[in-house]
Amino acid sequence: MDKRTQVPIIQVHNLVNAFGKQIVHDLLDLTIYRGEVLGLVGASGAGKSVLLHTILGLHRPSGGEVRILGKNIAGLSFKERAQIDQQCGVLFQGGALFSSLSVSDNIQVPLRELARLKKPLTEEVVFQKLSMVGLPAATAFKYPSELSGGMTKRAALARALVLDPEILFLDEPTSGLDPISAGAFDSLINELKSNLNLTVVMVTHDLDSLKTICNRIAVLVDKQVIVGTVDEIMANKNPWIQKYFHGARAKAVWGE
Amino acid sequence: MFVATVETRFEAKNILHIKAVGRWVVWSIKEADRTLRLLKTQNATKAVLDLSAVESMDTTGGLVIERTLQSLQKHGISVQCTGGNKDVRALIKQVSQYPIEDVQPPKKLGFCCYTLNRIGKAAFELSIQCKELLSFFGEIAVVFWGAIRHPRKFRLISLTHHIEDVGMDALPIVGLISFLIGVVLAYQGVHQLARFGAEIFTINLLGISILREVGVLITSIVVAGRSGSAFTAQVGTMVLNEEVNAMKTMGLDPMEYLVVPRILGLVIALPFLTFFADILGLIGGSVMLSFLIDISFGQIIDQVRQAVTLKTFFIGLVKAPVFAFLIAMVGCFEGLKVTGSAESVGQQTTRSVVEGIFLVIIFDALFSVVFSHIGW
Repeated sequence: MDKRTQVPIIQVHNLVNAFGKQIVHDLLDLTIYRGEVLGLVGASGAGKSVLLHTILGLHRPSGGEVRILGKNIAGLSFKERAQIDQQCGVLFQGGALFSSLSVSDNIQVPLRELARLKKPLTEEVVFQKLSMVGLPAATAFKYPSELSGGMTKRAALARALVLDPEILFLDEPTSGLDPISAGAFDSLINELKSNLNLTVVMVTHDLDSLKTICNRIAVLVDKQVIVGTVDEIMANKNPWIQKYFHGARAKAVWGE
Repeated sequence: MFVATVETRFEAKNILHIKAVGRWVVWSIKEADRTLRLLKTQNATKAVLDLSAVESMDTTGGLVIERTLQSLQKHGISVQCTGGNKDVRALIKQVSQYPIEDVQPPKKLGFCCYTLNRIGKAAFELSIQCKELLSFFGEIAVVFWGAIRHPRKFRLISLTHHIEDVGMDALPIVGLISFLIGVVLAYQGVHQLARFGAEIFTINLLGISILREVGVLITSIVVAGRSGSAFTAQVGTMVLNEEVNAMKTMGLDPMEYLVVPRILGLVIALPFLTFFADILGLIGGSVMLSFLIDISFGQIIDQVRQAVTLKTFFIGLVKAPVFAFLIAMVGCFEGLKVTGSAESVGQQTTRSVVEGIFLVIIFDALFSVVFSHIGW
C-alpha cells in the first residue's frame, strides 16, 4: 500500500451501541484510511447498518466517539456539522431519490441549495455526473419511478458525487442487481474511486465486490470488528469468518 | 472562503491570455463560471489558458475549464493549456472523458393545450373509474351471493375484529362530535326562534334534523375519514407487500378474505354508531337548551315525543347501512388499486376519503328525493 493510505479519515473509538438490553457494539474500534475501499460485512442483525448510521450521525451512539476528518462529530456546531456532511456522499440501499423530483432535479438539489449555483451550470454538471455514472443523458428528465433498479442506483450515485465528496458511503450497492449490472457497478466504483481520490466505505454481502474492489475488509463479529486485508481475513480463525469466507459460495468466487 | 477568479488580457492583438486563479471547486466556481460565459474573444485567433495559479480543482471546476476550451475551439480559436500541477492536469484529463451532451428536455405543452389535455385526461379517467367501481360492485355482489349460499365463507373472527375496529373504537370520537353538533344546533335554533317567541320548537328542530339527517351524516363522514382511509391503507400496504398476490397464488380470494369482512363489518357497525350519535346529539342539544331557556328535562322529553315519530328515527337509520357499504366499498377498491410505491398508498387513501364522502352526500340527496316522492 502506498503512503496515502496511512492518513486516517474516519476514526471510531470505543463505540458502544445498545438497544434496551441488547448490546450491538461493545467498545468497537475502527480506523478508515484516506484513499482505501473498506468493505463492511457481518451477519444479518450484527449491526452493519447501525454502525453506518452512527458514522453518518443518523444514530446517536450509547457511548464512544466517531471522528471524521479529525473532528468528533458529537460536539460540532450546526455549521461545522454541515461542512463535514458535505464531505460525505451517501448511496442508500434503495437509492433514496426524491420521488417527486426528476433525476435532473434530484442531482441539482445539492448544487442549488448548498453550493448556491444556478442554471445553466447546474444543468451542465447534471449531464457530466450522469455521463460519469454511465447513464444516458435522456435519463435526466425521467422520474425515479420510471427507472430500473440499476439505473436508480446509478442516479443516486450521481447525486452522492455531485459535490465531490471525499468519502463515499455505499449501503449494499449491488443488492437487488443482476450479476451483469452488479459487476458493471463494481467497476464503476473502482473507476470513480481512482479518478476522484475517493475513500469508499461499503456495506456489502456481495463476495464479488469484496474480491474485486475492496482493499480491506471489516468483519462485524462478537460486537466488535476484525479488520484486515483480504488475505488476512481469509486466514483468520474466527468460526463465523471461516464459514463466510470458506463456504461453498465463497469458494465459487475466491477459489480454494 | 474559497475564491475562483479569471484574469483575461490580450497579449498581442490576437492572442487571448486567460489566467485561472484560486480554488476551482464547486463551492466557489460561480463567479469564474459567469466571467467565462461572458468572455469576449474579439479578434483572437489564439488563446492561452494558464492554470499555474490554480490551487485546487474538482470535477465541477474541470467542467468549466473543459467547456471553455470547447467553446473557444468552436469559434475557430486554437487553445493552448499551460501550467497547472499534476493533480489539476490529471483531473482535466479525466473530466474530458465525460462529455457533456446537450440534450433538450421533452417539450412542454402550451397553457391551452395543457389545460385541454388535463380536462380530457380527467374525464377519461373518471369514466374508467366509474366503470371499474361498477364492476367491483358486481364482484362484491357475486362473492356475497356465494357467501350467503355457503355461510362458512363469512369469516366470523375477521368480521368481529372489524366490527370492533370500526364500531367500538369509533364510539368516543363519534359521540363527542355528535354531542357538540347538538349543542351548536340548539344554540343557533334558540337564537333564531326566540324572535317569534317559539323557543320551545327548537326541540322539534333538533329532534327532526338530528334523527333524519345530521346524526347519520356526521357519523358517515367521521367513519369515512377514520375507517375508509384505514381500509385503503391496510389493503394498499398488503398489495404493496405482495400479500394479496400471495393469497391469490394460494387460491384464496382476496375479495372473500379482505373485502367482504370489511364491508360487512362496517354495514353492521354503522347503524349502531348512528343510533349512538343520534342519542348523544339529542343529549347535547337538551343540555344546551336547559341552559338557554327555562325548561326541564321532563318538558324536553315530552316535546320530543310530540315532534318525533318512530318513522323519523328509521328514516335516518335506514340510510346508515347504505352509506357504510359505499364507504367500505370505495375504501377497499382504492386500496386494491395501489401500485408500485409507498407514495401510491398515500394518494389512494386521499382519494378514498374524498370519494367516500362524496358518494355519501350524493346518496343522501337521492334518499331525500325518494322520501319526498313517497311523502315521508
